[in-house]
Parts: sequence; structure tokens; C-alpha cells
Amino acid sequence: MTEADWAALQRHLLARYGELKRRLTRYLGSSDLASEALHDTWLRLERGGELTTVRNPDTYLYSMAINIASNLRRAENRRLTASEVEALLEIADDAPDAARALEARTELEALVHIIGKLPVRQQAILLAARLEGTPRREIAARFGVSERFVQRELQAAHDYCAARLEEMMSGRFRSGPRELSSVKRAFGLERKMPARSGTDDQ
Amino acid sequence: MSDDPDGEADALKRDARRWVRQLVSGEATTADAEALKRWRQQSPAHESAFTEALRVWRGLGEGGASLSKRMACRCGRGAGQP
Repeated sequence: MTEADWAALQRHLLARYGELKRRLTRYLGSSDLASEALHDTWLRLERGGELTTVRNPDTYLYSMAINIASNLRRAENRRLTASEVEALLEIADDAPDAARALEARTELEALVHIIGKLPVRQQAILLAARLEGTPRREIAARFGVSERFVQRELQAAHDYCAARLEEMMSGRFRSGPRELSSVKRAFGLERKMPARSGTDDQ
Repeated sequence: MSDDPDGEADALKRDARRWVRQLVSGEATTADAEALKRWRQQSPAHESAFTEALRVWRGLGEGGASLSKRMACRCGRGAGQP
């Protein structure tokens, strides 16, 4: 097709703009995105180049705009890369001092204990997510359960561990390092609160 | 320690943990990153809840690794390995 054909499509786009915008808005659920897609469609027509046969200019323009919109959306909302996630998980203020180091050591012991008390499947899911960094979808496949189930079990395990940790550590470091032993003593007292499956508040 | 009613503070912590899980789910998108940024900027309490959730997440990694090692040792002994 020739340059004249591209120009004809542009004219068609102008003439049918209102109708195309209306249809696109309904399809995309956003009039902003529809406008943007039509704008980019215009620019695409401006560029010209190879053009296949256009049977129905309305359909042609509509499909082109939808493809452009879906690329726009993907560009705005792509998956984060592993290093982007890593950066978001970084702790800004992370200067260790002696007290902090001891607290961290005590916390570590507490967490080993707490994780050890999780129901077997919750523990396995937590370790897969945390240690191996396994994506939710893969964990679900590995255990033969739904992603939703993985999400729920992981939440239950995570919330349980955080709550128990807070309980065991509260006040420990107001009165100095000697408290280490009382944290250990507390280990024997915590059987009363098993992590429950399916406590999901979503 | 805080003027927050307990429920509100707990909800904040729960949301912070949810953000951490969303980040590591393998499904997190740039839109999530943006939303998280807005969430953290809502107040110093939000920011510190998130930092705390990150610290616990790190602890779960170290604790989990340590536990796995210990369990492996025990299994190893059980299986008659050195």
C-alpha cells in the first residue's frame, strides 16, 4: 500500500474518532487509555511503511488501537525483576551496634524455635518462599494446591511467626543482656498458641 | 508505647507483612512497587511498620536456614551418615 493509503486511514481515524473512542473505552475500561491508544495509533499511521490489505478500516484501526493499548498497559505494569525486588527489600537504616547484635542473635534463636513449631505444611511453604525464593505459582504446583491456598497458608505462618516473635521479644532488651535466659525459658511456655490454617482476612 | 489502639497498629503490621509477601510472590509488578511507595509515605508509622516487617522477613530467612541445617543434621545422623 502507498502513502496515500496511510493518509486515508488517518482521515478515517479522524472521521470516526468519536465512535472508535467510545468502543475502545468500553473495551479497555478507561477513557484515558483509549485516548492514549488512539493518539499512538495516529502516530503509527504517520510513520507509514508496509501495510497489509485493509478490508474494513474501522476494524483495522480498532484492532491496532487495542494492540497498542495492551502494550501500553504492559509497559506501565510489568513484573518487577529480581534485583528490583531485592532493592525494595533492603533495609535503609541498618547500622549494627553491640546491643542490636545481641538482640539479633536472640531473635534468631527465637525464630528458629518458632518456625520449628509451625504445622508441617505451613513450615514447608514458608521455607520454600523464604529460603528458596520460590514464586507462589511454583509452590502451588509443588504441593498440588491452589495459589490462593499457598497465599493463605503463607499468611498464616507469617502472621503467627511475627506475633510469637513480638511476644517473646517484648521487653527483653529494656533490662540488658541477662534477659537472654528468660527468652529461652519462654520457649517452654509457648505451646498454647498453634498457628491456625486459613486465618485469612483478605 | 503508642497512642494507636492495638487493633490499628496490628492492622498496620499485618498490611506491612502483606506487602513483603506480595513483593516476593513472583507476581509483583511495577504498579505494586508504586503502590507500596505510596503506602509507605502515608506516615512514619507506615514506614516503620514496613521496616519492621523487612527485619522479621530477614530473620525468618536466617532462622529458617538455621533450622533447615539442624534438621538436615538430625536426618543425616538418622540415616547413619557421619
